[in-house]
Amino acid sequence: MPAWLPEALIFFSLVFLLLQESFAGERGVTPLLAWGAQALALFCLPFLPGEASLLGGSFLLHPQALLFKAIFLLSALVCTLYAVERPNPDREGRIRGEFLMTLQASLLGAMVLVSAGDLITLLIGLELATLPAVALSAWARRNPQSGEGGLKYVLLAALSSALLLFGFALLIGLSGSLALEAPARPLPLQGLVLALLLAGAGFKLSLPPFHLWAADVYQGAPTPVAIWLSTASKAAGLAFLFQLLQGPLAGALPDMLPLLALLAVLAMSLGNLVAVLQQNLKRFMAYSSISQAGYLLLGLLDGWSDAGLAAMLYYMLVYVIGNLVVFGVILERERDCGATEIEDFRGLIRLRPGLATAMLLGLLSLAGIPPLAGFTGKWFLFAQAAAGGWYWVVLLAAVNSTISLYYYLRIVRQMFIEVDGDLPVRGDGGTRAGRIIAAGTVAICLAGILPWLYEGMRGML
Amino acid sequence: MEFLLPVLTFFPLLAALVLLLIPARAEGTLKNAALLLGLVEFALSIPLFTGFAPAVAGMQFLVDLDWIPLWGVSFKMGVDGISLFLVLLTTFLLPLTILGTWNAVEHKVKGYLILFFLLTTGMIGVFVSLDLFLFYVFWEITLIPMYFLIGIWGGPRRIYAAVKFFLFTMAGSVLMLIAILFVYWTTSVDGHHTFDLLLILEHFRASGSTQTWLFAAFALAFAIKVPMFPLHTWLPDAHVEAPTGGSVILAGVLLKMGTYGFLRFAMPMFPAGLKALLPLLIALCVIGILYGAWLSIAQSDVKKLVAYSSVSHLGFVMLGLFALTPEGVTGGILQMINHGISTGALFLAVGVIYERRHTRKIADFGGLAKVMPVYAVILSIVCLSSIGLPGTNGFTGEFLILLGAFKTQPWAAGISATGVIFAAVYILWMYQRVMFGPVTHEVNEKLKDLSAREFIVFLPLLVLIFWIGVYPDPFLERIGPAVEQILSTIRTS
Repeated sequence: MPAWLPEALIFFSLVFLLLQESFAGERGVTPLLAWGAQALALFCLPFLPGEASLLGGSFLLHPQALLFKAIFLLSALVCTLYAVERPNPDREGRIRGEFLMTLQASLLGAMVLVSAGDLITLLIGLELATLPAVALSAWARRNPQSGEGGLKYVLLAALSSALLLFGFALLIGLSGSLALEAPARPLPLQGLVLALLLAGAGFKLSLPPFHLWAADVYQGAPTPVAIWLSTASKAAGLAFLFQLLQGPLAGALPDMLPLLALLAVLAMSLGNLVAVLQQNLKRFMAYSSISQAGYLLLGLLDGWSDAGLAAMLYYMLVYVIGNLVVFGVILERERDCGATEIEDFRGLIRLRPGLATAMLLGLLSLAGIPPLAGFTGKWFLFAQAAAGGWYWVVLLAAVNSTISLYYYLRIVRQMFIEVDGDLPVRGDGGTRAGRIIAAGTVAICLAGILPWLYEGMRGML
Repeated sequence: MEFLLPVLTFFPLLAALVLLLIPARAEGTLKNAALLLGLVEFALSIPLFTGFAPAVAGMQFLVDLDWIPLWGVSFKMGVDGISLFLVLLTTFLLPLTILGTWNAVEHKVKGYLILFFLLTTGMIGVFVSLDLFLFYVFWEITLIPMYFLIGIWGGPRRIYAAVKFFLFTMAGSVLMLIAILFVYWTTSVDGHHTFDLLLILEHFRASGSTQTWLFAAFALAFAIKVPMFPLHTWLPDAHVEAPTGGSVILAGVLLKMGTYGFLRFAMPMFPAGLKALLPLLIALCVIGILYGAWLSIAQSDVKKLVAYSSVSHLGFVMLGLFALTPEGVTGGILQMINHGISTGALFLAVGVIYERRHTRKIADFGGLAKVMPVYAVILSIVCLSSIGLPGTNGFTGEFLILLGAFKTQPWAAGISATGVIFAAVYILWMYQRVMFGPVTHEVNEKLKDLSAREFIVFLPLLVLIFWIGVYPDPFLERIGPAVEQILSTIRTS
């Protein structure tokens, strides 16, 4: 199969969605065009060549890119299916042609980003992934919070893009090359370049101090979009960081380790401590995902190794599935009772036992409780940081895990323990989203026990 | 026989799945099924006792499968004389607790029973794991069911108690996790790193100060679980709020995960660290023994009294282990079993009057001996075994502990021996106030004596109390060789 097939599928689906909306009107759009293309592209991935180089080296295919594309396509597929399943126009805006097309564009950007072979393609991929996401986050026109979030997002996205562009300009200008590789000789102003590029990646990964947009955007954005931001968009940030670390910053990694360790600790601690205080579940998940990004960075602390890369990718996948489950439940509740406060989950075990169980397992996986996948993932990351001798970071990470457990348990308590008195609306359920949530929950349980997923990823790299 | 240990570990998980399929409304069916499944689990564990070769010191029923070979993680299980009886204690208490708390849980019976079986999987897993990763997994797994058991079926302050229990245990395991990772990266077997405990015991080498840190990291996790003074504060809260069944399992088995952890992991892996911290640990044991006993004397709530007595009794167990003599360690292990039996029985006995009166205040009772004669006899036997009267199991254990401790820690043993006297004070005084004298409350005059079901629950416990008290040899001969081996590992390195 040609190496460009998945991107082509997504691109043509985007075009067809646009055309269909123009000619058949909004109601005439078939969502199958969107998720069918995503599913097909996902299905194609195993049959693609392991290594390929297209367009004179601008577009590369390698195992790492394949794994990232799998993560993007998976979360795009789930987001699309969630979004088209009985949407709530008041809170989410109209979920039809334009929406799906914009989501496809963001997906396409992320997929180009991981396959980029030079700096220009990389930048185009990153912008194509980010700008549609900005539009999506402001999609619910009748919800002022959505607009507020979107505005914050666009301002900060523009700022980070400006910083990145400046960094890229310096890099290209000083090294005289567009290649995505380490400069042959040390550059002047290398520290500045490094800081600028890191700021760009930090924005996408919502690492403090570049995290300020996350909570407002997650809360205001339509929930399917918040899912997209917390899964694929975060994975794209990680992919961008990887591209930098394998390319222009390759030589600088050993010197950057203390800085990365500091960023990791900052992200974990800040995310966790602020999450404790949240009352709204979407804000809560925003801070939770900030702290999860901190754990992810631990995989870099032993320098650059295949084991560390595998640990990070595995955790990314596990985190994405966990988030898809938890957000799926949030979405179901939002459509049932119109709100996403933690209060609205009170007594869920009595109202919707299936949803409550899925939420429990999703949250415990995010907290890293065995035998769920989040535990194995965190263990690998911690072990990787320990291999580099960063025991104090591991200590702080483990302490943070305990704190995180405290606030994840707050929600568990609402769902399972405080079940007396008046309960919120039950809701009707019975949608296809339930099946996706169930599948994700099973995946979380199995991936923690069976080592095949991790071994498969490690074997590919 | 070869896969007996995985079967024992995961049968309760299967049982939980079976219970999941029974509708929640059919409470009678649920309870009967749970009892049956509990009995099957116990029956499955009998071959473990009969098939166990007493004279062999090493691991038996060994299972060693690859799990995550890239990380040197294996699925390795085995039992020796130390873990054998802890596994048996767990499977023995499971059906008894289900039967003993038949009517104690009034709502959400299904969830209660399912969590009970999940908890059993975690506990047995802890006792049979011979791989640090596997051990850590089971260690953490036990948290979730216990959190719910306390949080959902507990008393008025149950949420506070559940969160406190959870956070204390998690905070303890944090440092252990780091120590495990350190051991992993510093142990190299033919160029591979491993989590395999037996290989680590053979190949792990570290300097004295490093060992001290590592020992301290493991010890913190285990000391919280035991609990040793001053880390015991979660225990009374958890016990008082937990439902009867939760208390029985908590005192009977869960606390032993801590003492077992010391003996299986911390002590043989880091003997130099153990030696460096020994004076401190001995001092904490002695304080725990006396302090726990004194606090028990002052309690007005029977359940809290039993909870604090656990702090004192577990202090004895730890003193025996830290004596580092064959008698002391053997006594310590035997006393773990004894404590499981006696304190388990005490909590069940407290549950009996709580179910009838819905209060546990000593002042609300008095003169029960006249109203409930059978109960009075049984409670007296259980109380005497908890004090350690000769002829009961408590005597054998405490005697061996003190005998062993006198050899190496004469002062500590001497002071601790007074703990036995204080135990007599709090237990007998409690018994006197609850059982003797006139019936002070009218309600108590019509209390029903033990039902046949309750009597059947206590019967096997009484048999064991006397069996271990009179003829402990079948236990000691199986524990002995394993103790010798652990002690020689500690001595040689």
